[in-house]
Amino acid sequence: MNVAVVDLGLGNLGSVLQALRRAGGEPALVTDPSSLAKAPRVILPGVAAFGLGMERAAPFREALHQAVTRRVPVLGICLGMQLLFEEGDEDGRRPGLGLLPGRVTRLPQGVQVPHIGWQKLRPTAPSALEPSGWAYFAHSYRCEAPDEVTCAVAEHGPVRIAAVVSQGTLFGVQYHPEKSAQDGEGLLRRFLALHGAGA
Amino acid sequence: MLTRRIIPCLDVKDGRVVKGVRFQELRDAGDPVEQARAYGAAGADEVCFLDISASLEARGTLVRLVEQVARELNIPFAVGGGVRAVAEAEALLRAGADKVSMNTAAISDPALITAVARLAGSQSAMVAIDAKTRGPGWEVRSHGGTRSSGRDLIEWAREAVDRGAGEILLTSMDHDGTRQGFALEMLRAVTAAVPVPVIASGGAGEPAHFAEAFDAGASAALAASVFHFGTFTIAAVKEACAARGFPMRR
Repeated sequence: MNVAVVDLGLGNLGSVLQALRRAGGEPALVTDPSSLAKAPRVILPGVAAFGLGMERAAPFREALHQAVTRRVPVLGICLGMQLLFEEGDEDGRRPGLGLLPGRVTRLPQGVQVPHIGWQKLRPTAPSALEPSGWAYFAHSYRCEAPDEVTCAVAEHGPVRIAAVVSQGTLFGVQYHPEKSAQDGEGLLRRFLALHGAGA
Repeated sequence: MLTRRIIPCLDVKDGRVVKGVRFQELRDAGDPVEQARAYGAAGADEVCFLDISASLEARGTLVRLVEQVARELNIPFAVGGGVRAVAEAEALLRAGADKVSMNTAAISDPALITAVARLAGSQSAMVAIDAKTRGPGWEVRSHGGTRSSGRDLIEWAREAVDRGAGEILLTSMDHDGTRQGFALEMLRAVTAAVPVPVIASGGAGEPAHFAEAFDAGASAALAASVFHFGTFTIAAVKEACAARGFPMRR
């Protein structure tokens, strides 16, 4: 095992596990928060609504905070990224994991929602994940991430979407690297090559 | 800028890919996993599996096939056919499907759409609609297009989205298998009526037809036989659409 994948009992787990294996990883599904204590890397996946996601992620709150404090590489994917933020608007306002500053809000009116499809990433700051190339998005909510944690964006019409965020060894991707062909696989490989201080 | 998507559809029956010309006369065109992988390599933006036997024969889900495909495929794929309950949708998503497509079951029990959207998010809840000209508008057909549902297309598309559908896969029963082009008037009417992406299906016969569908408002266009039988390639379609000014992933 070289990466723990948090099992929130939500959809999309199969895709993430398979993509990690294609990228040379040895993922292990984790249902018990205490298992994160020994994980060299952690992935928080998720395809669902924020409310349900937080219900399932709440037991992992302390373990995830500890992993980040230990500087273990942590990657949230799609809803998993959104859960890292302070607060979400989906299904009523609720607190998130609070690991990153900012809120998660519905994509504004006037653009197509859900935002589904492929876009080219535009890097805005250096990142160990070196996000670039084509990314497949499928979401209705976005993270209003401050510039200092944003490292790549995608423009959905006039709306700027934080596509990749990072702070220390904590990363989030709004799109689905597990479904983004070679470019997505490259990002997962780079994540799997990261070594945190605790690893 | 969001690119327009080209989606090869693999109609599956008993684990094999088939394509019904006007939903009849099925022809065998290969192994689903091999096909999906080949399409991914050929530049498909997404792949769609529709189990066409499901509604007719009340067969179960395609979980095992989905697991096999997810192992091989690094682009998104949707699965439909026989999805009657949330538990079935959840099993398909857990096995690696990105989206589940609901058709007949959503018509008889629209609450299913909401339940799947709650569970997995709207972007994973696709509603497939088979529609046929009726009077000045279009009617929704169910059970693989064999029965009239009595519902009006535009009303049903709106209701499906209100209930949580994140995407509409719109098949024209009139155009399907004809290769005369997509049903553009119908596409315009539906894309004007709903805010979510609409996937055009039925009637693709040449690369220019895809650009026409995008011009009519489609976010993606789907075809089966033209790709299966090598009438033209996905790259040729993307080239034709890019030449018409549509952003494509190439």
